[in-house]
Amino acid sequence: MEINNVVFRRDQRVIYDGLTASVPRGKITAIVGPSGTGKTTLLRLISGQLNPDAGNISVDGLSVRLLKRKALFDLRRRMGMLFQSGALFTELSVFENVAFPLRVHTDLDDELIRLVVSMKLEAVGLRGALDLIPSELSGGMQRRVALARAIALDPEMIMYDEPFVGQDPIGLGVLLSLVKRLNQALGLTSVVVSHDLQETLSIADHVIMIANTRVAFEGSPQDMRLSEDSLVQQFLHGRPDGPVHFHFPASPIEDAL
Amino acid sequence: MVEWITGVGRSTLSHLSNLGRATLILIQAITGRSNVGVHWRLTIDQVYVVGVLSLSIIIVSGLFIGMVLGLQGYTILADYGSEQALGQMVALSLTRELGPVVTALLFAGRAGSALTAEIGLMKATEQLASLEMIGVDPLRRVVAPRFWAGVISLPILSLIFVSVGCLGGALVGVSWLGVDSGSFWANMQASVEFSDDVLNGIIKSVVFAVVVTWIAVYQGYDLVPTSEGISRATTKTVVHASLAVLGLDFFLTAIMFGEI
Repeated sequence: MEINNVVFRRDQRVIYDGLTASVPRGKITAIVGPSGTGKTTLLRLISGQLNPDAGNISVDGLSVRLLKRKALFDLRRRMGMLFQSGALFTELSVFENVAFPLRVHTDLDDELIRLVVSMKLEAVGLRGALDLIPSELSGGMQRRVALARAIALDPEMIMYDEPFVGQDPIGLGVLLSLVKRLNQALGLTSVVVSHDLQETLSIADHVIMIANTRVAFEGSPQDMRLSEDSLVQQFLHGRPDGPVHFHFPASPIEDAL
Repeated sequence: MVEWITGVGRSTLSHLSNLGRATLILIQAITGRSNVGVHWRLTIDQVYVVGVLSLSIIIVSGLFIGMVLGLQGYTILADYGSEQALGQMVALSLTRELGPVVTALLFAGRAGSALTAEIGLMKATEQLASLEMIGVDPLRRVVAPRFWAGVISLPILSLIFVSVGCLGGALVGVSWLGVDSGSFWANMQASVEFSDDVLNGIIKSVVFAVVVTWIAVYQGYDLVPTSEGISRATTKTVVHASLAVLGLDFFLTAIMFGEI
């Protein structure tokens, strides 16, 4: 996947100003950066839910913004996405949520669907919850169900938006291992957006750090740790002062008082 | 002055842009290939939600409006000794005007606002986005069944409203005020023409159904996904749909009955 010189604005606010990066096939790529730098926005641009104001994003050689509506939906069938909120269908049970992509896109009979759904839910540790509805689950459990749904069709590429939020240490460990195993066993291209920096870097093969509307670093996790760039160092060590501003742009507080 | 003109221009452009977006959403929702069996089932499910569940308010309102018409009509007609024409007055008022219009207004308040809130909440909780990522077009899966359900349900609800209203008129006129039952029903039967009255009422209902449901699904699909956004959109659905129904009713009446 290639991201070339992407410019994107929300109203007057510039989110990206010439963002260029690449996501290697079959690897786990971590997208990290301070809050509000547009990491989730990048996932939405990659999946064609948003269009850049300039520049181009190509997935498997296809320019996403130039795809017609049907071709775009065909491309999305080859992608899986885990949303930050889980985004489960609230009126469907856990089982039906995971079965939904299978029912829509395959001709599998009920018995096979039950088998596949049970396997996916077993992988995220929630096979016992298949008759519950989403509102009966915690936020962390909902995200695990959403993960099972995202991998139901065995996509070629999967994007995780904050998959580790709300997970206890056991769930976190299982999910980290699952993301790694999915990547290795199925040869998936994985993109992980996360603030759990150390955990994410522990499984990532490639890191893209976004800050101040551009890519601040791109390379391996080892190179990132060794980088002497002040911005990277500030982010890695969580220092309040440095090139990344903690405060949203504002006039001096003296003027406001 | 320049500022005022700029403001008017900006507002006009914004309204035209909204109309264009709403048209695109409707066209994309109702055209294109789809799995007919699945979409038919989804549409029938929605007919239950927007149509069957609106029955109680339609029946109760129809009954009371028919009863009020019977009471008011009798008072006026009795002054001229024409109370035998009560059935004609009740039936024509309901078939030509009150049936389609009041049903559409009630439908906008009951089902239209619910459609907007439901689609809006699906947007706010990223369910529409997750459908897109599963490779399912939310316009075909979510918007189209709701739109068709509205278009199917409202004319049927309108016919039920008119029927119940006629019974309400009879209840007051015949059973309470003593109008002759034979005159009441015979006058009604003789004066109401299928092509002029019933068919025009149905046409009005279909037009109102398209407009009200279109406004409802567009407001839901296009809203700002916040609690305030949902609140504003549901209000807009009721206000815009009600104004559209009342405005369109005048034009349709002028075309159908005004001989212009």
